[in-house]
Amino acid sequence: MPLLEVADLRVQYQLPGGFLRAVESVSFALEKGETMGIVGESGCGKSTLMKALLKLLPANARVTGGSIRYKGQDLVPLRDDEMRRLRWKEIAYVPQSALNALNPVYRIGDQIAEAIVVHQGKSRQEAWERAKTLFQWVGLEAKRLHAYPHQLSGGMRQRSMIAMALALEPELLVADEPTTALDVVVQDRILQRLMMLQKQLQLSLVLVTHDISVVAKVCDRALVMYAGRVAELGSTRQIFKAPFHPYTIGLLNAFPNVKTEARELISIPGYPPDLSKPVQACAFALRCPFAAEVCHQVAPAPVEVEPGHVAACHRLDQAEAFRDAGRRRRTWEQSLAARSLAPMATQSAPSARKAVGGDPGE
Amino acid sequence: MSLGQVLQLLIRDRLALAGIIIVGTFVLVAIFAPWIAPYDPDQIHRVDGRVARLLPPSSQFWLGTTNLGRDVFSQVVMGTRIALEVGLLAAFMVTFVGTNVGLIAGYFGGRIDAFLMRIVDILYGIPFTPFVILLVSLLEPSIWNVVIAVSLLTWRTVARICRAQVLSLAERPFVKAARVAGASHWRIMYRHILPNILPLALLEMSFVVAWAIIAEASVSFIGFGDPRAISWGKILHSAFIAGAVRTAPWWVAPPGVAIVLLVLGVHFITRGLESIVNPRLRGE
Amino acid sequence: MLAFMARRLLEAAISLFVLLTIVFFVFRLLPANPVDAMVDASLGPEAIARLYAEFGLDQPLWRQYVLYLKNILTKGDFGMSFFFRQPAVDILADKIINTLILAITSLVIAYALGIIWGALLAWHRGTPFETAGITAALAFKAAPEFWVGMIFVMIFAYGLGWFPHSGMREPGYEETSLFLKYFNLDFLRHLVLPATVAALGSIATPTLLMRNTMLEVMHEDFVELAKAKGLSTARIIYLHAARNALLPVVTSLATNLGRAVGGMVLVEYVFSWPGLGREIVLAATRYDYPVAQAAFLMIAAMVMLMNIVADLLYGYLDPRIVYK
Repeated sequence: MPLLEVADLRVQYQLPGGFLRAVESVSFALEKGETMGIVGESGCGKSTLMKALLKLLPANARVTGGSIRYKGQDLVPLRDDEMRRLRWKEIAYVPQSALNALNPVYRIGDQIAEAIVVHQGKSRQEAWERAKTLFQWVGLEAKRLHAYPHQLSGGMRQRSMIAMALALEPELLVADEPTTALDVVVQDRILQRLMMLQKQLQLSLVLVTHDISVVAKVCDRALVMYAGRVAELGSTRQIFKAPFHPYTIGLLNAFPNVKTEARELISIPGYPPDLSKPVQACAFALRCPFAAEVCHQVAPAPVEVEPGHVAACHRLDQAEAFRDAGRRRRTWEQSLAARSLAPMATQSAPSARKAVGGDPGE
Repeated sequence: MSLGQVLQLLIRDRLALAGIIIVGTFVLVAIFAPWIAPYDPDQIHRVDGRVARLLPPSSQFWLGTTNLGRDVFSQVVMGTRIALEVGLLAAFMVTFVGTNVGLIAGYFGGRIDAFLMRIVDILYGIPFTPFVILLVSLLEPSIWNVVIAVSLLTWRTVARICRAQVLSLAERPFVKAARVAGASHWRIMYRHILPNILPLALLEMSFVVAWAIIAEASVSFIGFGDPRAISWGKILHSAFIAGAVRTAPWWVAPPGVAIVLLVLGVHFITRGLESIVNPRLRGE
Repeated sequence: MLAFMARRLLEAAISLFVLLTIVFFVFRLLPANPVDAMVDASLGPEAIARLYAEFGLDQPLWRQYVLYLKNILTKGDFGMSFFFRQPAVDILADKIINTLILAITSLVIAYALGIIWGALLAWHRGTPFETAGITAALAFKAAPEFWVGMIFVMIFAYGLGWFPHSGMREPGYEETSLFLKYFNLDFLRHLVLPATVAALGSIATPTLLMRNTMLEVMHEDFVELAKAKGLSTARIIYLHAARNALLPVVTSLATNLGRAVGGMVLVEYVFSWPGLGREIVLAATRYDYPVAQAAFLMIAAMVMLMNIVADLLYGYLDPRIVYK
């Protein structure tokens, strides 16, 4: 049985104007000891999905359908006190910005010890001893335990957050953009440390990020989200070797990779759709250079393209051609969104259009 | 923001709406008091040939009688008039003076500002209730003197708050544009700046109404209210002196409840106005 | 810090001086017959003539002013009580501390309760509980303290008999040491009702202020993390959120010390608590002007002193203010 199984999850926000469908029909599974990266742009729903997993949704958000099964038990209907039994002991959380997530008036050591004292009933001394061990794991000196959050550097704070998350040796760790606020060098070190700990402790890890290169480094599996839906889901190797969804293709082309040959970085023109106005179409259609008529009329359901790899697109049969075309910048200027943003650019590219091999919905 | 818009926003806020209804009810009671009160509040009643002293509530006297045989209910109803008169009068005076002082000080700045604010600072050092007591003991007891005594200090807060707002407004482009266009100081102050601080002035006025009603009740309670008028404070004054705390709860409770309800209504309206003036609070 | 103190004391001295002047003119300009405010009309013509000479009431105004200032500032002479035929100072001197005790006790109670209450209200934002809580706080603000006092006496003193209905001690009290004079059960029993009533009168400010600061703090990430850690609600509200929201509320306590001292008047009167507030009411009712004037000036001086203490506390809590 998978450790974590999310089935057809839907999450909505209630706004003064109406509803915002932040997460729509998302399903995935995570086995014990696996790492899963949830990747997408801001506003794609990955943060909402993560908060739903942790049951930290704000008051105006609601899970309107689906289930989140942890070790077989559905978390969605659980009450606060029932969920509290799982928190930190089974499911822990490393938030994005350690400076804001640490209480400014207490020492780091006390904040780590708190979870141990409250959940395991140990004394403050024993908890501090354990905190020292945790600090060793993350590569921090024990004396730093006495510091206040503002006295530490960004990297140290992030490591303390990881130490705090591991305090009760949880089974599942959810990390929210764990390295976004840090510079690249520190970023890499922390990711290495995290990977090491994950293997040592047999942790299952869910990593939420907008940086696909982090997913490449750290994760076994990846879930690409767009506009609240699953665009593509599979093992990292599968997705990087052969992406099927045009959005994933675009994403891979937007991030540098030292291993492959140098080529230009391409960003996807246009903006994500307004989720308070749902439409009966593929959410990516307007920005997709390969969109056909059907794409503007029906939302595609995820389809298995190979064992363990699904993608939600109507034109999966053309994927190989799309991957080729996707490497060229001109291709991305063919989408409806790109053309409405820069009308001049599209008029001078008839050759590029031929190369695409599919008409952008004319 | 127009008055209509302010009202619209207020009505949407549930507490503020409740406040408007409560205060509105009191206003109606005040206007129609002589018709609502079953008896003349000063009339001494007799039952079975004897003065109706300290009778508990009954169908004849809804809230019982005082130690002199007067109907408590009629007194409480008539007391509504003084409460609202003093509250509104004081509020107008205080807001008028305070807003103008704040406007002048904030706009002209420099020596005028320093001088005016020095006065305000000194006034801030004067403890309110003791000062009011001192004043009413020296003046003839009358409604006007109570209003003046209460108003003399209260404008200090309005002045400070309006001045702060004016200071931030005076730097805005539309003021500079008006100056360049040759508008006189007075024109800029009263036609350009004043409309922008009006919501704030209105909010302050709301605070003052609540404050003044309680201040008047306090003054009357001590015995310095207008002897010819009936006010809730005065009713409580008579009750206290007569030892009604021990003997007649029906005499002690109603006037206070009336004060609490009216002032609470005003507080609700004030909170509603506060979230209009500070849009930041509205988003909550 | 020293320069700051010196500046504040100078400001206070100036304010005091201005206040003395204001009081002087108030007493001479307001009443129909200003002399009545200075001299007891019931004394008889020779006594009156002598007092005229002594107080220089036949002298030009500015001479009277100088005499007035001289008497108060050098001799502490506020005049003779019309009612008691004793120096006003003697009547008032031992009342000062009674007012202080009542003021400080009620303020501490109000803020302690207000902080807890405000934090709870913020936590239950948007629920009927919160609306009821805010209404309750506003209702306490709307209720005149003297009336609440009467109701409390009605219920708790006469009704239930738990506490005495007035006074500071039972009569016939004998105790020599200053400490024991105030720290004994009888005194505390007498303190409960007036302090509670005064506290309820000022509870709205800390409650609403705490609620507002808490609402801001509650959106902070560390509160969300505390929830994720599975901590109990009480722990999150008080140890994490409230702890951070406390500073503005504590500074509010400091700034309200002065106000509290001046605001004990009505509570003291209703409970016959022997403080300056009660004296000023009694003196005013008796038209005993020297005592009323003296009581007022003493209250104002105490308020100023409390404000200076508050500024010091505030400077300690937020060092930036000292260097302004």
